[in-house]
Amino acid sequence: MWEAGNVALTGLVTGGIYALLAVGFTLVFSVSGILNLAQGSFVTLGALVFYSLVTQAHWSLPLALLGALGILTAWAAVMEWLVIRPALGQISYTNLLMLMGGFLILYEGGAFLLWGSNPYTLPPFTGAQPVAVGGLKVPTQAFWVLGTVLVVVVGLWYGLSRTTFGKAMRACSENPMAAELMGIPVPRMVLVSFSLAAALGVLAGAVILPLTSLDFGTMADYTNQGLIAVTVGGIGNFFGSVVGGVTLGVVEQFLSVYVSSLLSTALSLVVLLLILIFRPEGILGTVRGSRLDVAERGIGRGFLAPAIDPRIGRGAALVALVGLALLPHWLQGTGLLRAVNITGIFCLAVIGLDLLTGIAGQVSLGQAGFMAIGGYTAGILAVRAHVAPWAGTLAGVALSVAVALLLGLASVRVRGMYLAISTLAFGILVESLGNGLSITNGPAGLLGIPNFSLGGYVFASETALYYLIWGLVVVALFAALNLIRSHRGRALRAMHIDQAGAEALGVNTVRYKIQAFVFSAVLASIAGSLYAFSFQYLSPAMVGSQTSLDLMTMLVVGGIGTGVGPLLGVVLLTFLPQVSQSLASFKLLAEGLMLVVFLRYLPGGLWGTVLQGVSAASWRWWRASRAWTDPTRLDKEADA
Amino acid sequence: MKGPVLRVESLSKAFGGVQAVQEVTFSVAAGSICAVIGPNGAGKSTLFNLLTNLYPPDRGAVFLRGQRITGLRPWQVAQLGIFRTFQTSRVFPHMTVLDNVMVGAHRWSRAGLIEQMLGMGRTRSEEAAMRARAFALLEVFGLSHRARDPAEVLPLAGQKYLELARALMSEAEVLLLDEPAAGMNDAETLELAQFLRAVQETGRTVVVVEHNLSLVMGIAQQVVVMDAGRVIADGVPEAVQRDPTVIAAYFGKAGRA
Repeated sequence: MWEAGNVALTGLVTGGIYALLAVGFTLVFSVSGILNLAQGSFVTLGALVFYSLVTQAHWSLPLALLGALGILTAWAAVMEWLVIRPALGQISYTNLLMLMGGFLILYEGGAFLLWGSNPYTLPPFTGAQPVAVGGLKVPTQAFWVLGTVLVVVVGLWYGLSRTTFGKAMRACSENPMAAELMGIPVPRMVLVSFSLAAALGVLAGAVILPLTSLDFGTMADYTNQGLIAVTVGGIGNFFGSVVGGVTLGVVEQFLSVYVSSLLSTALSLVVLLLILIFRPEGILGTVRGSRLDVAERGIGRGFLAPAIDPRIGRGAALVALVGLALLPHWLQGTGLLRAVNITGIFCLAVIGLDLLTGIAGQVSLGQAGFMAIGGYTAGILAVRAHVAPWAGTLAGVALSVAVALLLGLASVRVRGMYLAISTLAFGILVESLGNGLSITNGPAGLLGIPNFSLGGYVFASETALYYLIWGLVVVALFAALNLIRSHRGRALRAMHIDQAGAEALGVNTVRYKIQAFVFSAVLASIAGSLYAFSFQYLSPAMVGSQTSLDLMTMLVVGGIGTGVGPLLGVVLLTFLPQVSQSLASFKLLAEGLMLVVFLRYLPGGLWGTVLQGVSAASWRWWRASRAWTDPTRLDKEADA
Repeated sequence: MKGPVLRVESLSKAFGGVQAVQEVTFSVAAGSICAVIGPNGAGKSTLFNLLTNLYPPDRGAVFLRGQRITGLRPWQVAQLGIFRTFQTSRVFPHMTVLDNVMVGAHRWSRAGLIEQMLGMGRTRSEEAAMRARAFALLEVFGLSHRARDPAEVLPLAGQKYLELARALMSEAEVLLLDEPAAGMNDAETLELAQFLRAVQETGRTVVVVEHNLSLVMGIAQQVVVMDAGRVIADGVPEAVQRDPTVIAAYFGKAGRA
């Protein structure tokens, strides 16, 4: 009996922290429509700054708390003013979501450089001995956590419901344009919401630090938990967020004590996915209808990749093919071939992701989940059942297709930002299964995976692997580019821009979405299998949620929706860190920075920017010669 | 006189307590231009949304050549041959003008997924046919010199024409046009009337919701007048113009304004 009480208490304390996170999500979302994936960073950053001020600057606890609050809320305000505010109304909400993902990576990278990868903790604020109430043992710090949560929730509730300022904030969330017309300074409200959310994070981080230990990697965990909590409660619903957070903490604690500690995350993610798909407004939320005969036009500039002259394209492709064929010869003895091969594996996954996200507009933040399915299926079959690698790879593909069908069906019900969260949850779910199941050998990883082999030939050397991997990349790219340029590609892009508009043209959007999901999942699955075979080892972290974000960053940096461009992003973010260890430690920071900068300023990515530069030079000449208006000329080219 | 291509039977739809469309029944002869007119809030756009199944009706049904289409998905309705445009311009802004027209050919694209991935089979011939047809249509609407521009840079009238070109690209039997003249000046409206006549000459049926009465009366063979969700008159333009109920509900108000 007392044991259950202690479990409930621990759950309540964690739940309190989740509640603060969820409220932070809700505040920012209500006012700006942004889902702040960087929210969890402020818990960890708050704790780390607090720690440094206490132990290194020897400030007293209250002073250190004020210091951490001051530094980080100011930082959040500056970022809002510098990056987020100008981006609002310029880029779509899904891109804003990814932008916040960029901030998350950026903060992880920054914390890693400043504090290293060690976990930090502090002694309790007051009295180290737990207070015993009957059989209930209450750590003194739990009073601090619960007290803080209570004060913050009541204070915020009062502030939002009773003051003019709170009413103005709520008006922004109902209808920002009307609020603006009523004289409410909406931008300032957004700034306040971001700072307030950061302050909530810092408070949570400071009070929880004595009960746990935090390192830079915990940021994503806090973001994920906060996201689950706020989705359960209903995004934008203040009391729903509090209830969602507390419930999640308690349920998770009971699950981990009485069911399985490794699977508690997986179970809560399953719940999240079910809620997202069947009740996206949350358990306590209410849904708002929308008009279907008016285009829900994604705001912001779109990117239209300039057309390349087919002759130039064909010539460049030929040169690239010859170069690829000769590359192993040139690289002989440099030891770079391994990095080239890993780059090729990620190219495969990114080619599929570009079709899914760049062309069809279905944002997937869980693409590495399919790599994990492909890698683990092939790896486990090879290690435990001695199934031939090619057969294992195909089995992985089959399983991935089945899962992609499910996710594709989910994407029929769930759109835009909610789909992005669902796929994110899917990726984390696969990762947590990899960590929690015994068949995958948990976080230690699956050892003893053989080399890839086909009909007796073993791909043991890097050169043999090179031709296998890059051969597949060429085939995949050929298929993807053909698809993008075909009528189906056009219909997919139309669906991306305006779903109901595309349906009015006769586009079966359900079928096309599922096709795009399956195409991308097959490529990611094959990539995952090859990843496992080429390392002869696979761990959940190699194909976890961070890898999903990596893939998205490669896509954005290279040029989302441009077909060839994303491969540039892969080279930049896979090849370079593989080659240079000193670059590798800056990888997270650089990646986050690039994600933010490209989403905000260069929507065409590297490829689009280069292409635009080149085509701007020749544009006038094309227009002058009316090259594009003569249909027969283009047809001749297409037939040639 | 050919038989009706489109038949609407006691279609009704309520939003909350508001009867947006109430017991609407009419049919449209094949190859004719039918105009649906009525004051603001008469339920014209709702009627169009019901015809293409953007939302399901509470009661009643729609038949295309005798086949019941109520309950199908919007894309199925389009595939069967009813193609609509929207009141607000609905071009795909970040696609080129040419692609915007070509995507209208979706109804008759037959190339399969594998063929398209390999770039073989029907893919190439179909693509060439689509491009030639699209250029021909853009030429008709005077947009061919902008084929490679993003559609969003076209002026409003250009976007409306682009939507018409796309609708014609579909080769659909019945075109539903929701206020095609909205935002056009007089000269452009006159031009539009010419286009609609030309469309009719190709044997297609056009149903048009329009506020511009001079456009409607000049080209339509049938006028359906709606008020407060009901059909209050249905007939040839001359008869409808003389109908006292119509004058009271529509012209009367306009005259006093």
